[in-house]
Amino acid sequence: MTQNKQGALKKPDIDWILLAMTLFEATAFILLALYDGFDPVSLILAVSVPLILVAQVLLLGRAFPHMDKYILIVANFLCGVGLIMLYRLAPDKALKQLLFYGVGVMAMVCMTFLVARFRHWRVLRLPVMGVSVLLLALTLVIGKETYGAKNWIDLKFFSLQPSEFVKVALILCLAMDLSEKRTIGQLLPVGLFAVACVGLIVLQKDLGAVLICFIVCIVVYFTATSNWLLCLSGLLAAAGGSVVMYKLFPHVQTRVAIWQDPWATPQDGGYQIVQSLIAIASGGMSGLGLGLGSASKSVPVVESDFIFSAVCEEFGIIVGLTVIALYVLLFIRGMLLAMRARSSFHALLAVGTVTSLALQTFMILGGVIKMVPLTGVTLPFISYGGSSMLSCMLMLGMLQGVSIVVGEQDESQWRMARRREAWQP
Amino acid sequence: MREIKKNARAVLCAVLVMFIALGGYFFYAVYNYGSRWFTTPYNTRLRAAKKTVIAGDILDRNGAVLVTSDADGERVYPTDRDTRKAVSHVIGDANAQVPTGAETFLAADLLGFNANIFDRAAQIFQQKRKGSDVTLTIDAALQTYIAEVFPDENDGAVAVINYETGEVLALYSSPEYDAKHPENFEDLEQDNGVLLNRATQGRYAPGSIFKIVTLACALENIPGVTERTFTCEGTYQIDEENRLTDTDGEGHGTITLKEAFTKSCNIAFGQLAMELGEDKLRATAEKMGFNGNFLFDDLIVYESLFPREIPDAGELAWTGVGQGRLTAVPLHMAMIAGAVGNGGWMVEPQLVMTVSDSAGGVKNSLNTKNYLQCFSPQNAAILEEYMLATVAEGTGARAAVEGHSIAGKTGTAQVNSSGGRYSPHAWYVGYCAEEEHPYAIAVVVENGGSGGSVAGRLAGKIMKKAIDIVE
Ligand SMILES: [Zn+2]
Repeated sequence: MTQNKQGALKKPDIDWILLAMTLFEATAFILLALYDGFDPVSLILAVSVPLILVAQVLLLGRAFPHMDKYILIVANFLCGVGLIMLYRLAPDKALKQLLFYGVGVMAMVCMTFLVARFRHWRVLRLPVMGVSVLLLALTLVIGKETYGAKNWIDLKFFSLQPSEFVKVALILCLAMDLSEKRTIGQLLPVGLFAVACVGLIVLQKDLGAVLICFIVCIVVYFTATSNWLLCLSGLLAAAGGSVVMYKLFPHVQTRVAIWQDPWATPQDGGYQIVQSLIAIASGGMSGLGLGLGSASKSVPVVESDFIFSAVCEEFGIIVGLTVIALYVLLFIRGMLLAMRARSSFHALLAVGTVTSLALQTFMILGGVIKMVPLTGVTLPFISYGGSSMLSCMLMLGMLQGVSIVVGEQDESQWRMARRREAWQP
Repeated sequence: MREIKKNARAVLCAVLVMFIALGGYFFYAVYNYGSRWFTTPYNTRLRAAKKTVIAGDILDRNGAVLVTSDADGERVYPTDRDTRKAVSHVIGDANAQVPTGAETFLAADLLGFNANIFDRAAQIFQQKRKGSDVTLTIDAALQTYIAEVFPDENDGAVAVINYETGEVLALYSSPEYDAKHPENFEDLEQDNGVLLNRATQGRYAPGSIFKIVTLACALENIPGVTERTFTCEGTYQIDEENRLTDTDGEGHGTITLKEAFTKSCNIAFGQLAMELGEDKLRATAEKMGFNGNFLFDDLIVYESLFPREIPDAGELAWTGVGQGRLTAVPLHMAMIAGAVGNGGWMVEPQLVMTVSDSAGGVKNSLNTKNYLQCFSPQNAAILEEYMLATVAEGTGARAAVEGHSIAGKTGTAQVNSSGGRYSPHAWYVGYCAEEEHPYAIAVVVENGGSGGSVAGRLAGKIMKKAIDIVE
């Protein structure tokens, strides 16, 4: 396969998609500006949010021609949807989120550069592991508790959720070590690191993050070694562990009971899910219209965990399904990168990243529509939250880095092949 | 590297499967449960919408106004108290205290949430929007007649449907309440479940009307059962502890299956149930919607229940004659009787005839759907023959309507409540076996006594009225 088939996109396609998405974002913000008296801030957003998207595609696209533009556009569009929804639900949070978004884009560029150009990963390995474990341990000591999980560090101007960044570190370290070393002894450090991370997050009672980290470990390990047996037994052990947790902890039992029948306790335990379902149903196929729903008033934590319900209420089920489809597109593109990668490090990096993002998306979307029990994780790129936004952008950067490496390798091989052809008579 | 590529593909497949399941579940859940989620009393949007929307009218099938709104958006009920009370449970109330009523369950239409996008855009600029008017399939005159003839001293329910189209013609629940005076609802609810619509939510012991199910099961599973004879001595010793008894202990002597059905012989049907076993009996019952999950578009109907397990032969025999831990919902029973008349097919009940939005667009909402095949056409024919005979010469004689061919089955369901023995619930289910009048009916009179003389007589009167007035 040559890069022309799979790598760079045909230009006109991208232009149209880009135009449609910028128009969507701008229109939405202009609508919000006019909705309840005139609001100049919204107009600023109407210009700046699409601009960030276009600028990235033009500038980064020029600097790194092998960047995956589908992934770039889809992820940025999802951020845009999040900002629109946030601005409608809680304008002050949207402005903060815009800041996170900006910082996130820069973080993404740095990560892209690191993965694509930096050759001395080994040096970073131990410091990254150390800082991660330290941060998690620190959270246990000085962290604050929200919704039963103690997973935040309050930094006055910014609340840090270390587990979000530990996910990124974990993927990096797993990809590094599993791509080279194979003996048990050599894998010991990364193994210990993984166990420490999962263990500390269990202590924080952050069930969603535990599940994501654990499954990412198993999936990356499986991809690297094809060791079905060990991975299956790992999953079985996890299942056993969940049953034990269910038996031991009353709050896990409550959560499962709520999932099974939220309508039994519509005013207290099941309140969130009941209101989420009502919001989704109220929107119908085409939605009530931006600004006309009332999820902002009825659904708790609507700006982070339950933002999808608000999107469905105001934009409709069709847009909700489109959002799901966009995530799927992003994951497919990411996995295709893994399949095209020539080094196992880059392949594992892409697999780990996609697994983590996909799992997180599935858990929260499944949670708000009552398909699986609710675990308090954010919806990647859309939900409000600095840590979440930054870690998602870092992961995006990893995917882009892999894309650049893969693209350049493909291109050099293609050149070589051409040269060889030219030599032949 | 090749390995990694292969594994990455496997992971991608797993991710795709997860998200296809997610999208599928999402769509399925919203499609099937969306209107139920929307219309719960916990939806604050409904209450909020009442401030900005003037709710549409609810009309009966002949255009009689059952609820309307005044200029301020307050709900106005008919001035005639009898009509108002007769239709009370169908309509519900303005404050969602009767969540299964049309006021609440059809709120999306009444408050204009289902209007199309252009309508909604236009409405944003109006001060107070107007919701859509909803015409029900209910016949208010028939409903009022039922309220009039239903015994005042008993609670109970009546359901009348058109078994070919699914139109619900009457849903009556006694005791009624007066929607005009919602302030005393709380006292009412505490008293004896006045706000419960017994026709769609009441779960009663079915008594002998369940013999329709047992008979259908026997027809399906025992070849040549119609040729059998049974010997009835009035009682039958099942084992050391359990005994089957007939209502009158005299004994029916040697009888055919058909006679056992028309005379409602417990001994014969108890023995049939034991021969069939609980699994076959349950399978037949579930084929008719027992233990199911009714997700009808227009109304909420609780499903009837067949026990998950039956511990001993005694209970099995009693289950076969409609006692034990069975429960039956009146409207569901009318649907089963109707299925006999409809060649074995149960149709989905329809409560909404048309929805007309404020811009003048009228949407026809009647949409006949076959819901379950309860019986094969052959077995439906045999059941019809037996049920016609029940009314012609058996226990259902009082349900007969002169000049019309009526098929039915009576039931007298024993109830044991704490505090002693009560009179049994009187049941009747049946239908008119004529193409011009495809009506099925279920009547239950709580503690009313004998099914044949109380419920059967009542059903006969109501069926005659329905044949006379419903168009
Ligand atoms: Zn007998």
